[in-house]
Amino acid sequence: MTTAKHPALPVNRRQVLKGASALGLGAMTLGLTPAWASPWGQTTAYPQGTESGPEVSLAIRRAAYPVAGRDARPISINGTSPGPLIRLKEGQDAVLRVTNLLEEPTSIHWHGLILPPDMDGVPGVSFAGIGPGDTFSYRFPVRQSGTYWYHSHSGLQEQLGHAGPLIIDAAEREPFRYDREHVLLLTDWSFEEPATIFRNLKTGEGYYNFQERTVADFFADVEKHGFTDTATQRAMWARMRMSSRDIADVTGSTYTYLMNGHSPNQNWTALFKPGETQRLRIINGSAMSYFDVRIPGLTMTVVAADGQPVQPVPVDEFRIGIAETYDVLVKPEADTAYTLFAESMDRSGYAIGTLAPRLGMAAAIPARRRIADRGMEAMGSHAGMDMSGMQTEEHAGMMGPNQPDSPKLDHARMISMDSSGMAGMDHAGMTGMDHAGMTGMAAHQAGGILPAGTVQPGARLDQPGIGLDPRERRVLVYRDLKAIRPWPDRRPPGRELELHLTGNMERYMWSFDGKKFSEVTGPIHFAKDERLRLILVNNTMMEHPIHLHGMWMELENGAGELIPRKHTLNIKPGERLSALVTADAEGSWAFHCHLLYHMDAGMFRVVKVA
Amino acid sequence: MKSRIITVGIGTSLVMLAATGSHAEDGYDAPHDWPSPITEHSRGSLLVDRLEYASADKGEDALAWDFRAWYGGDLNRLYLKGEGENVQGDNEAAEFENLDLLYSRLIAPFWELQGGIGYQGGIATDDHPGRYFGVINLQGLAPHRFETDIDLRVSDDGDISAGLEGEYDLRLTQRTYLQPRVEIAVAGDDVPAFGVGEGLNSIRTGLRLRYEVTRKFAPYLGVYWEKAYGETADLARIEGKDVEDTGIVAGLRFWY
Repeated sequence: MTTAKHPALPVNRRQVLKGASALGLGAMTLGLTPAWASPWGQTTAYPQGTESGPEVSLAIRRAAYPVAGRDARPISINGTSPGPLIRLKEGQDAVLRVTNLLEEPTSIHWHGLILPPDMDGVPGVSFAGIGPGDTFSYRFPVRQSGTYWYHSHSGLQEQLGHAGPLIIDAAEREPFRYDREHVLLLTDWSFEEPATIFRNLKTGEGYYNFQERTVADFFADVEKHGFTDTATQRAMWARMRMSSRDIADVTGSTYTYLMNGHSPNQNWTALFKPGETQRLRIINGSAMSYFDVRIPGLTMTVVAADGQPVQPVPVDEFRIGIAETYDVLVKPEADTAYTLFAESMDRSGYAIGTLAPRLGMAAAIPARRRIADRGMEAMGSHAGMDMSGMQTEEHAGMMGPNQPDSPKLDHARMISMDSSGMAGMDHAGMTGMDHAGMTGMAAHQAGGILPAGTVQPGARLDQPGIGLDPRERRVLVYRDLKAIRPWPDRRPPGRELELHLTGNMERYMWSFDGKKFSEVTGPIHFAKDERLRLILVNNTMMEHPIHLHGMWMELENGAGELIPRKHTLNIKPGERLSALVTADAEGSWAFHCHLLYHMDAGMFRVVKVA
Repeated sequence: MKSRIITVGIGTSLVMLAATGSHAEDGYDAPHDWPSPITEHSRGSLLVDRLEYASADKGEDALAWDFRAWYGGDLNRLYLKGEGENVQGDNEAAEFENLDLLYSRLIAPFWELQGGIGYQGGIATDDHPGRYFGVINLQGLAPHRFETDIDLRVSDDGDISAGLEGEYDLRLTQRTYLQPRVEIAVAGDDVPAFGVGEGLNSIRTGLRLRYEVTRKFAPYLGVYWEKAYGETADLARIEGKDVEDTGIVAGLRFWY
């Protein structure tokens, strides 16, 4: 690619040259990849491909461009897909000019940034969007630091690689030190058009799932657990018309999982010098994929979550929900290669890279684990169901014998619980358990409202989630996250707002409180400057990464004054989580599930702070 | 009677379909020229559940089909369903056992209630007698994942009949399915011209082994057994047809 291929680009000459040199490097060594994915990481010596603030120009286009070594047509930003690293500094006034060279409207949302509502980049909520040929200038003061990312908020464009990392250097020294940093942006690429994927999800249930249970699994379970237990379990799932293997809607059967734009075969490599401390900024920029990240042979020390510093937590593995970011420190001492392994939650594939002292090295690739079956869980935490819509899966997440999440629950007990619980699992039973009952139950415990920071009944903060076994290795759980110091607003919540995450898998309808975006009238209201508790109850069988724009959510994980704050919360099936919100950001904000196709299917609301 | 059923059926379908186009107001005070942050689209799909050649042990071979196409949104859809066969070697044109145009509404998470008009007979041929119906259907996924379609019909002569179709997919591998299916027909009135007697008319069952080359394209092989009962069986005997038959089928299941 040369400058001649950027006709009439309103990017400045410096950026064109930068882009060209970055692509030149890429073409020589690694294919056309973003230059911030340089082997030596982001040090002052290797600034190519980084668009440094405060003023940045970005051109969005769709063009032929290889992905995973094959012809593809992703959306590129300044010539790369995923886009360039945008580097800002806390305290700057950023000016980000985005030029749309697509034939359709586009947008960029700065994920996790606290900024004015008209700069948030959500078409129809923050602004009108950026029309074809138009340039929109985002201007906002940078008031935070850490690891974030940016992506399109228009239609399904994010699935086409319209995303990139956004790093804000702190004005003051961060509470940890490191010698070198690498960005690990995880994405899921498909050679199918996003609209085709969405259509397949809408018309063919389980379309991408090639790990469903078969007759063979039944007999294997009979051998392991006996006929009665197995038959009881399977009958329960059959009655519910659900699949216990429904871990991911879109899987490795169509996705190639990418690390910094590299497929597993291309083996992106990050370089280190033995003894150096490496800061890995891991961003889940995928459309639909949860990843479990580990580096066999190295302990990772989690030092930030969603861009915000946390007290160090040493772990061997962590799950990263869509749109979440984690910063970890690793200190490889040996002159050897390590595998950066990000396995998809449903085990249908992985993104992979190598952390090595020299280029051309590779370490062993861990064996992929088997897909886990979702199990059964007592109905307690997720009883409040609204049957007014066609949305609610009558039977929310459950866990059971096959679920390593629950080592304390023995098999026999689970089964007996299952069979007794089943009676309540039909429609009629569920309708009887109403909303009011739930709220009453929670309220009962503290004569009104639980104290700030308290874990809600129904939260599973000690569990890493489906398919992860904390007995095998140390796995990060939400309970581990503790802020360095208390966040500024120490007020207790003045009120509670409970929202249910609902869906209909058969029709691929997703919603809040049983209503798709097209079915709701009016936004969710936050009073300006109020302190409120947002309670999220997952009535579905799937994890949902819930993202609130414009304001932090302080996750009530039992850490008292040191509860962590996040922009995206992963809610496990059947789980009930709460977060404290300071509604200090006047204006309209998007609030949605960050599974791209769930959002597009209606799991989206507008929050209005006034 | 015939024209009234058709008019009412089409009218109902169109009115209900029109209702699907209107969505709730956005409900927040964004300027009018801003787009909606989430846009819903109507879509359509065609499923040919069975397109098969049936080789009967006693009777004639036949080419049979069973399809359903829909267009609409999540809750409201317009369906066209067709099931029929062309008996080989009888020098007669193909006959639709039913060709239904239905408005469909999702009434429960797994169930659609459908209503509209149906037709039985030949298309553009005089080989088969034809008649029209008012049709009500309940289509959905019953507990234990049984695909179910129950229909109740009133013909233009006021004759009542009902049918039940059930299918179950037993997953042998990620791409191979064993599918038992059953069809039961009953009638409230004798209609000799269509070979229908009062009471239980017939039971057809089959077992098909299907391989999904892709999710959307799956050839299969299978066997079936069918039997007519009661007065329906008597009518068949009078016409010199077999009351009970078995056979093998080879066919395709595909959808878009």
